[in-house]
Amino acid sequence: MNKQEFLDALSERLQGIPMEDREKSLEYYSEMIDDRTEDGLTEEQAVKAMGSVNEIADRIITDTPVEKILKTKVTPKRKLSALEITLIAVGFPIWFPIGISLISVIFTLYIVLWVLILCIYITAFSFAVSGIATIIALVMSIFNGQALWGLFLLGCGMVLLGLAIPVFIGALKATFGFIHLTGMCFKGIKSSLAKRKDGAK
Amino acid sequence: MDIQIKRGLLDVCVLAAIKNEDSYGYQIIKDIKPYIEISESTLYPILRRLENADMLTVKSVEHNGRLRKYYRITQNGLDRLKNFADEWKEIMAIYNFVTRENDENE
Repeated sequence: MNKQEFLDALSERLQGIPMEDREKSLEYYSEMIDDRTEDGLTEEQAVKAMGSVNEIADRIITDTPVEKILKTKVTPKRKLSALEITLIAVGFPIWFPIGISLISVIFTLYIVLWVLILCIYITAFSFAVSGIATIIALVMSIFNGQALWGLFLLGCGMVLLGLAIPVFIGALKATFGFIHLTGMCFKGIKSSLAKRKDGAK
Repeated sequence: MDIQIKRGLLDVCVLAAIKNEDSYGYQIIKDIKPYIEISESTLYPILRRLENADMLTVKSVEHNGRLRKYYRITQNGLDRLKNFADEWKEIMAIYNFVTRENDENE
């Protein structure tokens, strides 16, 4: 790949970010390739040293604030025709509620998942509380002279406390996993927004 | 190296590379490379971030019939380097403490 092909490919992948940011990135990589060629590399080698276009583009997109990407996406590249504007205006009572409901449904699902994780914590907590309560009961039964009953309670208490620990660890794991998943989703949404739609040329 | 530590170190390395005289992208990479792993694609977001934080300014200078961007450190950038040196004095003291304990155990 020569320099021009590299810059064209990068520019193509960066269609979703604002023109100004795109040009800055292209200037930077153009300068880097030129400096490496001046240093004795061939153009092809210099381009190769930059790494893969996709990785470079993903990195730039990840570093671009999401507002900028949205702005670029929402601003149409051509003026809308009168018919399109009318259709958008007339269709408002239809697309607006549908959009709002869709967003609410997704948001609700997200909350529900968090509540599920909260339930695991509550389960762990109740195991722990019943375990402690059982052990208190054990102390009382020993004072009352019921040793056999006390032994039984001791076993129950140990089992309950033993259950609380893995459930709590599971809940922690679920929380971190879910936070990680949320981050991944945001990243995915961002890069899919920044990607140009096929056929929109 | 821990990724968060590396990120912070890269920022100060870039600032250190332009501390004494203005420099350009490729030169910065060549200066830093012996000390910490860096590539073109890692340098770019760092330069943007430092520029946004007013730690450096950018100026285009003509070179061989094309433009090359030169980066100059600002007072903010110098302050950052100063803070870094102070912070690491503490960390080095801890390092000495930790390694001395190890020697005694051996």
